[in-house]
Amino acid sequence: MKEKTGQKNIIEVVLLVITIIVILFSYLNFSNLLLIKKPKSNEITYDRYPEFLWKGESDLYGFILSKNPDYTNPLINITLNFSYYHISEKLEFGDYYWKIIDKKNSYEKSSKFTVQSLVAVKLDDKGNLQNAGNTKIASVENILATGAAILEINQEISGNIKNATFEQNE
Amino acid sequence: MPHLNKMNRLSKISIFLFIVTIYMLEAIVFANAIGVTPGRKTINFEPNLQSIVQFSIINNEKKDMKAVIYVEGELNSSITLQDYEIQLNSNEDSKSSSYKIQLPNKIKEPGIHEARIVVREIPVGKGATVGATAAVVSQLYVLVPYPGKFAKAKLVATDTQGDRPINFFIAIDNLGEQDIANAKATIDIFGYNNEKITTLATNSKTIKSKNKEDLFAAWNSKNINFGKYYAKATVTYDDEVTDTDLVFNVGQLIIDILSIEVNNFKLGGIAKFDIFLENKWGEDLKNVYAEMILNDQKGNEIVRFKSANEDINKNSKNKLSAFWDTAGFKEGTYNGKVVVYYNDKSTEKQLRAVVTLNSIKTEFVGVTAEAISVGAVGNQGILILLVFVLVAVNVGWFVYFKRKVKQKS
Repeated sequence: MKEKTGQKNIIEVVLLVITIIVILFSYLNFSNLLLIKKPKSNEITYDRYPEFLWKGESDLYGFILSKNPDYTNPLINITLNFSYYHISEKLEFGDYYWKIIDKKNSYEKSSKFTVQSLVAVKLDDKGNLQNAGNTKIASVENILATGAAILEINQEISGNIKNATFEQNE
Repeated sequence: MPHLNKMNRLSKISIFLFIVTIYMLEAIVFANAIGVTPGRKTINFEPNLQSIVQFSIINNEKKDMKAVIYVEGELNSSITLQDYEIQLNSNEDSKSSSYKIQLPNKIKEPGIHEARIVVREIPVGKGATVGATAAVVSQLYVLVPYPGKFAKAKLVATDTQGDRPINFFIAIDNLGEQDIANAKATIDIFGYNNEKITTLATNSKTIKSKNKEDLFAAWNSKNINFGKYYAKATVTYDDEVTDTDLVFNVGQLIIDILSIEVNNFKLGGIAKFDIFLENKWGEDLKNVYAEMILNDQKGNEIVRFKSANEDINKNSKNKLSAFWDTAGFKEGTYNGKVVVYYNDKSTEKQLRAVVTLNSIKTEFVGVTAEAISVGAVGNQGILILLVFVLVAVNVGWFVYFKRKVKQKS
């Protein structure tokens, strides 16, 4: 009698452990079917042409980018054959929501990121100045003969610039 | 005579060394560089509002840096800074700071009222140029509502490649004291010769005071010619009207990246990447620049460098040059991409760069290359292994207990 109870207990423990493993495996496996890699959830990026990267098992994805969390009137809504998308049109500053739909397995994952402005300049010892940020900038002072300098992203102006103060101009 | 020859040789070496030194000194540029983010923070006016705003100073040249922070502008007396001076080490990408806002009870004039948080770099270290400093501003915009109903609108077009409907968004900013019950718009689209092509109607929305909403319309542009278009949106909000306009291009490809060449290269030196482009657009493009990004084998970015801005004439070819300091880098194959930016658009090509001691060869690869290389490390294998191990452990336990029970009996 005692022997039988012991065996029963062992079988019960084994079954319980196997059940836990199966549940754990299924959970991890299903949650891994679609993984958002870039931009990370709630990431603040200075890249106005962000690239989107995810990991999935499918070869057919829906990609949606929207300014609204309910994805109405999306900025981009396309179907892709690979797990990568690069924005080719400059994004305005603000919050964005994006969603990946695995069209083969009917899974989806969504995430949010923020494009934030960065005002940055480089000035060398010869007075050459470059807009090193992600927004159009204007000088507060009239540093050019024609007035204030307005620089597009990455644009450089040369010529003995000293003590220039720049602010966002878009 | 041999003595004189020796003197001659020595003086030649001295002159050569002098020229080299002068050249090297000329080549050393002590750049000041500073950044601040966000570039602008916008809040709505509320009497006696108190708030704390975070901002970060960016050390984009990764060097030891010192900066002073001060406030300018109409609302400067409403701002209290957390730091008035900040120091960054070469290993720090950025440093956070903040300011406290204490708004007055009333601001009479409606509209935007501003404070400017100025971050000015103080030159430090060897070679710093006294007197030449750059400063950047983080703006604080305080919006005081206009009496009654008042809205501002901004039209934006997205997805303008021409193969899918073009989306128009009109961002409506309700700057009035009153809510807007019904805001809607019509968008007239004109062609190159100013001929009207179509009129689109947007959806309508209710917009609360001090809030923003987007109106939306889509234009099925499948059968239209590539080129420049003009859109004028007339926004009606309750009994008021405002307008906004936009010039936009429709077209799939404006700039094509033809090839990339690196000549006269030695590992450890400066590599000059000549990026050959073709402007396929019927107009000159201004401020075109390229950015190269290279990753290691795991897909982690290891270097990013930009070319200078250049103008490229319509329907012509040109090249941009970008420079990579390869000091500290090893021979090997690097995946990456080149992105060319122009007119608020970008063209990208994935590439592979094979770096040897005296050459860099680049080739364009398919778009999936990066996705595969980055996404290749999966957990599935580990999981399956884990499950097998656990099952084996359990079987082991089962056999062990069974034997023990048998032994006892």
